[in-house]
Amino acid sequence: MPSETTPCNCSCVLLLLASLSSLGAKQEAPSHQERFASPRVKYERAEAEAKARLDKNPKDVTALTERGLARLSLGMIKTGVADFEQAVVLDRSSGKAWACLAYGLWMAGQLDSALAAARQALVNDPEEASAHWYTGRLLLLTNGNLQEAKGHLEQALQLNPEEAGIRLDLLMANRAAGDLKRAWAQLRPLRALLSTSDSRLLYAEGLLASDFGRWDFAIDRFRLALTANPQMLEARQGLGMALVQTEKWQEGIDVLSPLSNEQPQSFRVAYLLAVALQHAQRRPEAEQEARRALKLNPSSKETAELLNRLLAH
Amino acid sequence: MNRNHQKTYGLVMVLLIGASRQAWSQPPQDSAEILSTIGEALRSGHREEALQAADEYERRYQNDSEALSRLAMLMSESSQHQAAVREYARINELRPHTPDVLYNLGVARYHLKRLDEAAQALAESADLEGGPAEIHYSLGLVASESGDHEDAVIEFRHALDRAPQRADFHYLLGQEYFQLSYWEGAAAAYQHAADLVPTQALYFAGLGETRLATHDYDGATKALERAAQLDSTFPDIHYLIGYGYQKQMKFDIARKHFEQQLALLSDHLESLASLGFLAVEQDRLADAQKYLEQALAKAPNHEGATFDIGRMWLKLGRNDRAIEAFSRVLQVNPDHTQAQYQLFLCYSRARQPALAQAALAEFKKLEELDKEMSRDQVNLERARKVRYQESKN
Repeated sequence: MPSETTPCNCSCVLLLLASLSSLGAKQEAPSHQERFASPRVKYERAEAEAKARLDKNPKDVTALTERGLARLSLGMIKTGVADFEQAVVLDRSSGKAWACLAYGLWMAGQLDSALAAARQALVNDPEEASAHWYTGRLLLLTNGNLQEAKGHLEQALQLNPEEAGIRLDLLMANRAAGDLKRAWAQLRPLRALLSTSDSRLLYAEGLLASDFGRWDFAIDRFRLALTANPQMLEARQGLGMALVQTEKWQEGIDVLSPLSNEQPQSFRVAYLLAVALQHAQRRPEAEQEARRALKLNPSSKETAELLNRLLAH
Repeated sequence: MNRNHQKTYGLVMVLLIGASRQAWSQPPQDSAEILSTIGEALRSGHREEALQAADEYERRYQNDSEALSRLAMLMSESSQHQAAVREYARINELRPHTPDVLYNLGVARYHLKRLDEAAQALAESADLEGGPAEIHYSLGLVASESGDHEDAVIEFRHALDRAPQRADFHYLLGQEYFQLSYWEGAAAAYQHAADLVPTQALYFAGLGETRLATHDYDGATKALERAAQLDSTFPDIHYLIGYGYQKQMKFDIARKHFEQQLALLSDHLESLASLGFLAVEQDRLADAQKYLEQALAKAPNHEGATFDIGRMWLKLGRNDRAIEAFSRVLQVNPDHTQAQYQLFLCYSRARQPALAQAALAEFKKLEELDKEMSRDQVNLERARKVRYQESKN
């Protein structure tokens, strides 16, 4: 499904920060306390340092983008985006500033504008790895052209082969395009790049195992992903689906019930829960969930059939 | 995967406990008596009693950092890390920004796996007093366990700047480089460790594994054999040597080592699978069946063993069983190019042209995919080399 993407965006900002730091003013090696500070402290320091540079030179585009990225990481989305907007006004030909703006707009939920900014970044600098990555990812998120998305992600990977996040997105793009073996092939380098307990890797393994019908392996991977990251919604959803597929009705209900409360707009969760409840002989609850699923997706034939079966009893 | 990690971890813990850096004057009589009571209670397993006495001691000497330090050290030595952290945190309040206190606080937190807090205390200690190697070493360990291998490299290198003769530091640096797939750095660091302490099997094994990772099988077997001479029971050592010889196509020597590994550990999975592989290669099909079935009994989804048992069935003319095995390989690993090719051969022999054509088409796709992934791997290796050079500078 095109809307399914890898769950973590944190490495996107790291890629940008890494590329920007080489552009910034020459700095002394950070102290131990700076290197080992919590991420929040690091971002606060980055924001303060960029601000100090901007106080001296308000037209410092690199400082603006660094402050914007620090602000995004601190959850200050609006002010972060404002910094990027100012940066592109000051330097309309910069690839990096437009890439940062794309990232900010994406975080602000403005996906179409983000995509336009990422494309502009590539017009300015066709070698801007992060802009290729965002263009690919945003095309996936907006149900855009899959082949184009794959092309951008492959280009991003060519420029930055060590970035696991790009590989995870490429895996998802190949999966969305139905090329499951190509998606699977990305697991090889990912296993070398990520630790075996990385929830994103475990989730991707679970998802692909589901695609190939290896449900027991999928369940194992989703459970491990949740051990590493108990809040990972995608893994909970994958686990719920795998449990229903393997007719583990009660375990499925245990996973899907809380998920249904947390994601009341998810058709898939509502439908799977209805199926599990039906098989667990909890018909009134199954009917309620089936009705809810049908409301979320009125054209779903399978849900209509399920509801009919429930009403027939 | 670096198989030596677990063994190193034991080494690390011992070093940390022995690395406390504090010197005191003799304790006053009354405080010494209470400490002795606490120590005795801990040794005889009366933990509650000991902790009660510790509470009493803490109340009495709540503003005496030296007295509290004695209690903290006793707690550390008795593996009462929770209590040790509490004492060191209190001492840190009394004597803030003191390198020794921060160091001990960091180490105590490390034992509780409170890695972020451990790093912060150790980092402050390192900034206040850049000198002792132990601080950087401890910080390297914390970074490593947090998965921050790049900072771990920086810290182990700081430690080595201060104590270049410490073979264990070189070894740990090698492990971090290995984790980052910086093979050149890993090999150099392991080699340094081995040069400094040529009696330690661990260092040669690390070097050997790095050589395996870079496909230098001759160099790998030399280093691994040295490790085996030093410690013939080193985990997996004969399997690794066998693997190195297998890759050099020296099958008889490889076989001998896999058998030696099985003599040490009769159900060593990879050795069973490898002996199965060799038996198929050498047309000893009864042997192959024995080893591969043993491996698959232990690990039913073992990719290599399943593939080799497929090859065995093919040699025995059992197309049906071979097809079943290769299909199972592809279920476990859908991009297994060789299994796809073998499937094509099976269907061709079974005179099933449609299935053979389909298998061949899939094989060609996978072959193309392999080429792409090889190019990707080369690109990745190049990027890593650049990063390694940058990290050195």
